[in-house]
Amino acid sequence: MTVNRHPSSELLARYAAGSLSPAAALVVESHLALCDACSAAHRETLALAGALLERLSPSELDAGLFERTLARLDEKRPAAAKPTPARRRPRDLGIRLPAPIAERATSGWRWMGPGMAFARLDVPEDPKTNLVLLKIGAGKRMPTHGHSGEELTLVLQGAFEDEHGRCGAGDLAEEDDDTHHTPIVTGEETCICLASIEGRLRPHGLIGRLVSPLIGL
Amino acid sequence: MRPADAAVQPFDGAEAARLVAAIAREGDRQAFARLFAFYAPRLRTFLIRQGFSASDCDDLIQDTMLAVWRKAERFDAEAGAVSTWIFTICRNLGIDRRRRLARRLVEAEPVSDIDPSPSAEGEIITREEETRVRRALDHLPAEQAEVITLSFFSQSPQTEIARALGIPLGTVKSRVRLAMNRLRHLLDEPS
Repeated sequence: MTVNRHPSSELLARYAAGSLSPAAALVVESHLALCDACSAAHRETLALAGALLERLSPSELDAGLFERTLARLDEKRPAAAKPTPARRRPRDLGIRLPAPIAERATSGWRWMGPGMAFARLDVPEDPKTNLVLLKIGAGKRMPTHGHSGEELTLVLQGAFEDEHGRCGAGDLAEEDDDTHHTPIVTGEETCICLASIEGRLRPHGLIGRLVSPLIGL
Repeated sequence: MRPADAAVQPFDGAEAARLVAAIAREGDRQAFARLFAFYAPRLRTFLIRQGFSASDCDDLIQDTMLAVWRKAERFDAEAGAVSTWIFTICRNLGIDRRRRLARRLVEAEPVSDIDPSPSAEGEIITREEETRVRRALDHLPAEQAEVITLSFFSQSPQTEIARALGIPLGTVKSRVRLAMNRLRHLLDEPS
């Protein structure tokens, strides 16, 4: 897989710091699972964060914090939590999903329009962001749009093209309020994307706008 | 035993690795106190900037340092730096904490019913990566290092960068990009 569009350094920094929303983090993690270069860049970003941690100015601690921590050193270690099975079994969506999302429960494909379908992925730990899979037939054009929230789109199969060029399997497109976007699905193959859509009220993003009437965003 | 006693002693990466080794070897509490004295106040700065409440900060610092105590023998000094290891533990615990909080707000659910935190803690950072990063950071102009620190560790980086540098919000993004590109360039330079 030749990946051409990678997460920006800023996005990798936010991912490394742990400040991305869980749904957005899953899209980045799925890209890392497909892209060796970005996995290396992520490790490097963690090393950078470690070096920066040393340079942070220290904050004053609660006076008893050290004693309380010390008192816990001999505590029995907690037993490793058994992984709980998903309440809804992951459905076969007819596509191999990257490991970070493979075990997520999904709604299954839902019709969204001629040649378009979506499936919602269950991310109960992230009520503010939606994680969806989109399936769009070859040659379909999306409406022009701008938007308010952040939207990350990872192509899993097929390709679309926008003013920044082609976005094929493994590529990650970042959109925010500065982006205007007129993507069209190119090639013969149906395009399948994973997208995190921030915000519940007025998603203006490409995918948000298509999906919102159907999933009650 | 007081962590404050340790704060005045010199501290560097090799020393940190020796302290972790002493914990692994003989459960050395003095070594733990010194690590705590250096890292706990800095973890607090990181966590505050990430928007955690004071009590969440205390919990996360305790849990991070307990993990350092318990997992010391798994730390590989040949690989990454102690700072990177501790940062990654704290980051993962923070992510986990946020998930729990979000879930509890939505549905009253038992805490055990939660996906395990991301596996990043187990990621192996090579010494070479670690060295390159530190060298690059040393060569970065102070203002750009500040931009990168803020964009890393702040919950609302754009606002804080604008305030710190006294620049309009609209130009923050290009400033971050500039700093990141400069760092990228330094990282890619052959040693």
